[in-house]
Amino acid sequence: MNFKSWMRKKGYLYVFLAPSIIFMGIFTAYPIIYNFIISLQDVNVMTLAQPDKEFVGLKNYIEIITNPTFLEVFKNSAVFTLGSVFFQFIIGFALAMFLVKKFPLNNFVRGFIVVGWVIPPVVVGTVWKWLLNTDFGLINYFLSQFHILNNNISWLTNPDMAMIGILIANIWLGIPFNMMLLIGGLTGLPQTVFEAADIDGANWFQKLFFLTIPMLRQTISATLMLGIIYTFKVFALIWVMTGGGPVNATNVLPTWSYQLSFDFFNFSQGAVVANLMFLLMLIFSIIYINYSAGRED
Amino acid sequence: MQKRSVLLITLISLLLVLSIPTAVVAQTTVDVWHYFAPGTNALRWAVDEWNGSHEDVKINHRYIPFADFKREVTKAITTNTVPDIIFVDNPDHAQYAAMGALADITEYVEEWGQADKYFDGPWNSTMYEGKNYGIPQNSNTIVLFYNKDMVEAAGLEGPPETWADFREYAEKLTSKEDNVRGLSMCLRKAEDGVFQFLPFLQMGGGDIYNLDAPEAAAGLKMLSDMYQNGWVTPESINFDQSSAMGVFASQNSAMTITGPWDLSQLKDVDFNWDVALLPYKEDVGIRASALGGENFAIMKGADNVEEAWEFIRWTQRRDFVEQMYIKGGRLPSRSDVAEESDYWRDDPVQRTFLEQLEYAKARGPHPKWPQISNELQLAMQKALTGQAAPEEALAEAAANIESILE
Repeated sequence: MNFKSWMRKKGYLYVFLAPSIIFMGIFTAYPIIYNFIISLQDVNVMTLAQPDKEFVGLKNYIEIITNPTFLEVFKNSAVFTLGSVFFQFIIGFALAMFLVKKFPLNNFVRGFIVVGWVIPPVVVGTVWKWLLNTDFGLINYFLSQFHILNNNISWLTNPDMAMIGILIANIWLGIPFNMMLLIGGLTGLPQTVFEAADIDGANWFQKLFFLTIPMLRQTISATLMLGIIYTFKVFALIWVMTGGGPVNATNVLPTWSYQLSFDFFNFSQGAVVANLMFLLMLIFSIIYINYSAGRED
Repeated sequence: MQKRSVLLITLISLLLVLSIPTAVVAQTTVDVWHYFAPGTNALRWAVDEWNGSHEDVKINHRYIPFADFKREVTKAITTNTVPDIIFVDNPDHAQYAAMGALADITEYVEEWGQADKYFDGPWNSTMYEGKNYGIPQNSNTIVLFYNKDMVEAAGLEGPPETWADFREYAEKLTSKEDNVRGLSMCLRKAEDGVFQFLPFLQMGGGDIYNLDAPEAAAGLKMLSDMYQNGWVTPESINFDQSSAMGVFASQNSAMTITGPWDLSQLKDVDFNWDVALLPYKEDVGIRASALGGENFAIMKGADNVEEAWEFIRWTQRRDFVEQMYIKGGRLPSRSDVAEESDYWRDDPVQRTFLEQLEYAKARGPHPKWPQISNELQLAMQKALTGQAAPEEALAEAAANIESILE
């Protein structure tokens, strides 16, 4: 086959693909590969300006994994991600169930809730930092006005509470996203099935657990997976609210990676943490893709 | 018709292209990167003065917020697109020098011969392994601000002199009903937290390289006691210095500790306030304070090292540098200016700053200062939040610092 006819039959597809391949190559593949390379080299404050960096194999990986901070930070990341996604999903689901119903001002309420999602995380973090302030925060003010508590809670300054503080902010931030995806799924469900169930005398719980949730499985797993990936790499919100403190109570993998790279100039170790995050999310995505592909059959 | 216009356009563009190089050749541009928002340093004024009086060399300055500054500079180093001059926060200077990011300007400095005009603290922060890597641009330090009305109302007199007074004041000035705490200060997990805490470590007789010594714990013990007793604004452990001052300015704390750059927040307040030297520990008798400030540094691999040095030297002329300190609300790094100028002597607030500056000690200098500082930050926060006893937290930090220094 000569070039011309190959071009006409199949080759032109590659021409259409080229822009996105070039874009992905420069902005996605290159940084990932570069990050991987520097994680195997010794790139730190002393060697940064030198042209040739020493190859050190897995030394950086071993140093990070054996660092006692790693376990602490990893645990924080897990708690933060799972805690956020769990509550975001439950609340988002409840709101979605509510908002698919037809009632006056429905669209207005939907739009209003989504506004929260449009606000940049830095702004959300700053606002919540003040809401959760020990002495002057609105949250503590209301809690004490309603006599729910007598002593102000140190939301962000007590190491035992700080994680809960940032979780509240992040859950708030993530609800609209979960809600919108689930509303999309819910509106697509065939109404005839529900009508049949009504005739059979199914109650609300039966309809929820035996019809809605099974039929929504695809949407639910997509929502959860996207939620986990988004939450796992949250940086700005935490950085603004606590900077990873007090002590290391809210230090998660992204904030730690930033600290290693740009506070300590230990780029290799910062890259190691970023790569571990990447690897974890990759494994997670592969499991998800296999799972959802299997379901479709 | 069309042909002619094409020809015309080609000719015009050719002319334009030809004229550009001649314009560029006639002028050298020195790039300066800094992190001063307008009104916080007189650098902008100095640049305007230079550009107004120099034709062949122009200064082009670029503002990068402090939080992004290091990242931008490292990016420039790795991609070989460095500016000519950067501003360096003085504890970071040794790290940049050790990185090999800065030009060795020892020869220029020797030829210039004004090294002895500077205070030792700022000057030493620009040195690394006996060589010069910069020139101090300004100094600053922190003092105690107190609300005179509140102090009087509590039946106290004047500022707290000693640590015992300090505790007593903090306790008496705290009033839960009025939402007033005795003290608000920056104790957060960042370099400014260390900046604020270090004087207390030093006044207790300790130093950062011997955190496991018994005298090292005294300052942290006092502060964490005060914090846990509720005499300190709880948010202090997340506050930067300006936020701590904000609480003081809104009369929700009776005392705060910060530097001259926050004076602007007190311009329109309707209460009486004053400044005082940081209270010292009576049985030790050491005064200390934090030395802050920025240095000029020329980047290694810069295009215009000669011109950059010329600009730096030009800003450091005796009378010019005095104006630069004053206009920027900064304290002198040059001892001749500090001694001869009336400005700091005549204003009681400025006088206190200058007096406090005499006791200020540089952080580091050490190429691994950020890591060392991080260990101290963790120890501070562990003790303040009651996760560990001060001695315990500091002993752990001492062990970690030892392994960082290896």
